[in-house]
Amino acid sequence: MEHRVRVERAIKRLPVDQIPCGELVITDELVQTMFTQTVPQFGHRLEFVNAMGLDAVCLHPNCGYRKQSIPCSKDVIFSDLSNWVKTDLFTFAVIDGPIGWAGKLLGFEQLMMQLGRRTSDFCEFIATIETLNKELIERLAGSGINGILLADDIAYNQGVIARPALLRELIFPSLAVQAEYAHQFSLPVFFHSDGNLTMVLEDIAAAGFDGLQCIESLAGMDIGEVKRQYGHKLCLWGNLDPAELIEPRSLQQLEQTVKQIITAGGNNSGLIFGTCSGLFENMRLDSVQAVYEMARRKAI
Amino acid sequence: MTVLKLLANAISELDEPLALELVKKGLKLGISPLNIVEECRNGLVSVGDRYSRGEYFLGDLILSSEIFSQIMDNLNPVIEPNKKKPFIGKIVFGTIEGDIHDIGKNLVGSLLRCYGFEVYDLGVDVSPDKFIMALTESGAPVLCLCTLLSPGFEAMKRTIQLVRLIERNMKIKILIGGLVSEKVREYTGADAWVDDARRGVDICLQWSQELAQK
Repeated sequence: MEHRVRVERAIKRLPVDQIPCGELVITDELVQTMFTQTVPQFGHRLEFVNAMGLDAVCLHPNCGYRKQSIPCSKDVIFSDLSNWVKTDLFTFAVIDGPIGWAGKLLGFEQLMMQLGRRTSDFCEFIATIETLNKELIERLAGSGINGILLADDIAYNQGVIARPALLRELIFPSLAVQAEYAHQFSLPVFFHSDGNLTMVLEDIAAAGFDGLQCIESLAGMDIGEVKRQYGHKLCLWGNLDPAELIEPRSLQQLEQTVKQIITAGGNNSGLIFGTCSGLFENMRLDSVQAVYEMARRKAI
Repeated sequence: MTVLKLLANAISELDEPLALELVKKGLKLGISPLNIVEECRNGLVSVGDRYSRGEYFLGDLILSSEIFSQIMDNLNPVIEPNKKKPFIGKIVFGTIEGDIHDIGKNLVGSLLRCYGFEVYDLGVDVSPDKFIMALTESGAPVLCLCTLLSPGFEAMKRTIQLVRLIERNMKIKILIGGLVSEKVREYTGADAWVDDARRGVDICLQWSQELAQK
């Protein structure tokens, strides 16, 4: 089964020949550890992804625009997009949601106050981000991208940052519009947020997302429980604690961890295996390779 | 219900327009501004309690502090100049070297500012020498370090060791937060640890009181 087909089937919660693997982020510094070149290029990144046996990659927008204001969609560049879509990998484009943009542009306190006060400025801000993202989705669909990952950190390790009712009133409707827009181009959409999302899982599923990425175990997210409650609606992606790949671990320990995630997360249906954080330079490459290999073997 | 009780209740309910209106009304009735401030604090305590019970969320804590701040702006012209702005103390804050997580830091930093601390937020991936420089320049007696990565404990320990070297006779209080525990506190040599934003603020408030009494 091709990488792309495998991920597509996992998203549709259909049986797959092996559990697909994917990562939200892979830093160039980690890629660099495999090569002697100082600046990794597309070829190096692809070789790294293939060496790890990943099925899906995430493309992040470059900051080719001023960070002080909301950019025009044409100024948002996804590096090497044309090269990535020519591979047989499933390609996700990562776009930020209104909370993410507000955090960057207004600062955390202003974001929280404007959200809490339901200011008209903030409602306009949400609408502007919605328009930006719809334009991006349309452009990305035309460029051959396979899926969208809408990233909006609405939670931290103790729960959501604002009242669920407030998120339900102001944020989720906009996210739902964006997800629906992507569906019009036949693009599946995942939602990403760090933290404990337990109180809004129903809203995430109701917003029409095809999957949930991150499922941060350290924040108390229980992938088995999420699977039990929303596995019929959402494909789950992530849950592996990055510390497992940073700290020294025996193969037996890693196998146990992988087995737990795979068993709880759905085995060969509706699961994409990966970390909840992405891959960073301080991770042990041998451990990284080992966990993907174990996930692929599935017979653990 | 008296204006003051209604005010505490309005803050507790996060009813910003009503709270501001009640402050104006209270002033017109000749209620002492300091009594108004005291009642505001009761309202804030109630918000804090509701947060602790899981009834309120982080955004509510920040909003309540902002309401208080606006009330203080209204009261400032009638309060003695030296009581204009509550200033609790200075704090240097940052995510340690090798870690780029910032949400926990932002949460606690925001709350600390709301409670009257002057927070020197150094950002993420902060090297030990930058913490030292900020402590030296600001004269802050409290340092807050956070990490969500276990390899960060080494950088945390290095930073704390350096701080202990430069602090001389002024013992700098060090609070660690994020993915930490009592074991990590012992390992790094910090004074306290938290995994909850509100608790972090409580500890800093307690330390400030202790320092003020010295």
